[in-house]
Amino acid sequence: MRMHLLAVTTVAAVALGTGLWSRPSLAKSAAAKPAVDPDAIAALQKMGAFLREQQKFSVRASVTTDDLLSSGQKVQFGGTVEMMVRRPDRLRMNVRGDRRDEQIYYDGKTFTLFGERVGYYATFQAPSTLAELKEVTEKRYGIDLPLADLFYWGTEHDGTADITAATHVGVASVEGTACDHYAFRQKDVDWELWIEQGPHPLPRKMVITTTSERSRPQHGMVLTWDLSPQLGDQLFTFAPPPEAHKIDFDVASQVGSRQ
Amino acid sequence: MSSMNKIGSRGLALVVFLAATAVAPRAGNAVVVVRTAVNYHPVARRAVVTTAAVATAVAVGTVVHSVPPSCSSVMVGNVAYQQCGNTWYQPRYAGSAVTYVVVNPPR
Repeated sequence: MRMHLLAVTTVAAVALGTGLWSRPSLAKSAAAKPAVDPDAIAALQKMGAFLREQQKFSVRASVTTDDLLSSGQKVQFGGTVEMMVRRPDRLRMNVRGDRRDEQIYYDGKTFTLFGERVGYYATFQAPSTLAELKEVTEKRYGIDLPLADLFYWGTEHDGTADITAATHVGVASVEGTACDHYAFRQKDVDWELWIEQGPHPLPRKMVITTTSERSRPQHGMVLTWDLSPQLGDQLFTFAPPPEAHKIDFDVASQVGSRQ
Repeated sequence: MSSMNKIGSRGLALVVFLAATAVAPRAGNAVVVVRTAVNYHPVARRAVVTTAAVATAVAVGTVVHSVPPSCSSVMVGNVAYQQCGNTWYQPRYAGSAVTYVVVNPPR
């Protein structure tokens, strides 16, 4: 059951990140699936195109994630993700939460992961672009980059085929900003997205509900964007504090070797 | 918490594998994980936290997600260790989480 849940949510995450925003081929599938409102899909694509235009940005996500205690009671954990990007080769990320503490630095040459609480950092020689970086961090090092799906919104992977329902729910306010509220369904996952109205069609809020789990745990985030941030070079290069110690990545365990 | 302590060392190795790959556990763990694109926590990471407190001899190669608070951070030959009595751990990143593997005493 849990394996199923994980598989499903992983698929959902990939789908959310990869194709939904990028593919313009909805007309045929919409005819076959009338529950899918083509305008809702078009809104995803418009948002994705706008995000791909941004050469630099920073975004702060306030995140909540449900877990289950062994008693079955659902509890919520929280955190924030700050992400600063300068295309094509600069990334900085700060992840802070009840159970996470990560700083990520990427300057086009070196990738560094630093855990401030534990005082350890590790580095590897990185590929020269963000697009390649994501591949390496996930496949070789097993590092999921929070919000990294942003990078996939420009790719040709198709996620629209997984959507079984797409609806414009209405107009809603997210932290005072008028948004269009959309609801989508796919196998085992319902998700909602609030897209800012007007000239900046940014994702401002997202909620993902795992419907295959009886407790229907949710993962939610509210996003605050800055499309003209000041992002100096020093932001992207790690300078270890005196008390920090360098350790290694355990790459061996990332290639599928069971212990 | 007592149920968490039942995950034994065999469970630890499994947990490490899980942390690295996000494959689900078979049974007995305390936490069901919701994995999403933005924030996910490998199964039973918190469950592991308590188990390293068993301060008996730990086999070299055993991997845990945390060490007891009484351990001290020690540098030997420019390599970082956590020394917990006679047990030495070497920290390393497995994915985005630090894990600690029991090693032979470096000195």
